[in-house]
Amino acid sequence: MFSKKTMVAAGAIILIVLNGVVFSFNYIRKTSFTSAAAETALFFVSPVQGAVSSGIEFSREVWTHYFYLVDAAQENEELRRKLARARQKIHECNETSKENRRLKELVRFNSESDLSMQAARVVARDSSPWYRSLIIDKGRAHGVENGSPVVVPDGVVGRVTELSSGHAKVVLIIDRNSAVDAMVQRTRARGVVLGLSSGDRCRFDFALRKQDVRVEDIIITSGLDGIYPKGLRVGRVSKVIRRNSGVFQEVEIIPYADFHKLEEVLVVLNPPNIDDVLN
Amino acid sequence: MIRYLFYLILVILLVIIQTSIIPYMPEILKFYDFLVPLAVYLSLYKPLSHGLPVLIAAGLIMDMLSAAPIGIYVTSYLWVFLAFRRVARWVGIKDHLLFSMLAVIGVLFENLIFAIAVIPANPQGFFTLQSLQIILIQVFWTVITAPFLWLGFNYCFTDHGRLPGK
Repeated sequence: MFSKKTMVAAGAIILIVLNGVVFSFNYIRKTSFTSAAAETALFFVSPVQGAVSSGIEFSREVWTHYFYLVDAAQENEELRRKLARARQKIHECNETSKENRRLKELVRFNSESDLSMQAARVVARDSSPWYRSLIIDKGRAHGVENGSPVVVPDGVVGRVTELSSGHAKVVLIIDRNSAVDAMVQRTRARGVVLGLSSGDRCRFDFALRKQDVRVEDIIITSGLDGIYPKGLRVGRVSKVIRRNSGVFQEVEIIPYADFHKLEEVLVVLNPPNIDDVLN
Repeated sequence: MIRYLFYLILVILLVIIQTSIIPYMPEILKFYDFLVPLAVYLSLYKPLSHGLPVLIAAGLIMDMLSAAPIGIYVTSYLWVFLAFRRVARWVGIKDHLLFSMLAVIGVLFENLIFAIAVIPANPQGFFTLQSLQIILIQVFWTVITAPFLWLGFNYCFTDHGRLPGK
């Protein structure tokens, strides 16, 4: 009576209508059966879903954090490098600042003095504990001569004994071979400052016993040796011994220049001429 | 020629270390003359033709840089070099111990030569507690550092001559 095609089409229509009715009915009103079924399904499936979901989430987290950590590690490394560079920069700035202060002091001393001076940097020191000298980075090419006095704003350092075109050896006043004609600033008592080489002390020899020399007196150059200009500070008296016998008194002085911390010095380029001094 | 160039570079390196680096260290770290152990090493393990020119050059460099009387370093190194040449045959102890012992004697010997130069001019300036302290500090550091220097010299000289003790 009906063809096969008509039967299929009619069945499909009925099924769609029935579905529509059932869905409409379910949407409007939940039955206890559907609630129980849903609950059961949730009870069994949800934990697995949760676990899977957490696993996926965990994997995603690990994955993204891994890359994040790699990035962070790289960034950390980079920041560490930057910090190290910044620290080095700060250190350099501090050093430059200190050097600047020292050089300013040298320049001020240089400008206040009538003497023509050449600033020089200390590049090496005597390795022997028995002798005291240092090497500076200025030599003949810079106007330095054999015998040129070397000073710092604090006081006398020594004199040039050997030189090349670019460097010079300076024997310090604390060296045992050094001698500086000097006098006490307060009383004008004369003597000779001799190096001891042991410790940073000097002796003030040949000061007559009758002359007034006291602890804390300032010793200055007399200018009579024809090497050091007159009036430069040498050191202060730390000990005076007057024996009952003898012509001279024993005087020990502490030089003003700190020989351990010398980094820059000034070489006097026009020291007094011995003939001028004698005349 | 390359050997002598190598010796010269080593000498200059040691001179630079002890004139430009060590003096800026604290007083307690004031070392002895590094070239004395070098003289001992060359004396023990190298022929006369190697050691002599090297130590004369080293001594002259030091003499030029120091305020000490000219020739005092050359004299010290040559005395150490010549005095210890055949001592290894007489003393039956191991290399590094012998080296350390002779380095200490060498340092004391150098100080003795300096004393000979200093004492006539200023005897009371040398016989002081501070002088004794300087010598003791030098001996202390020699004892501490000599084995390392022996290793260092061995390493440096391995490719430039025979191995020590062989």
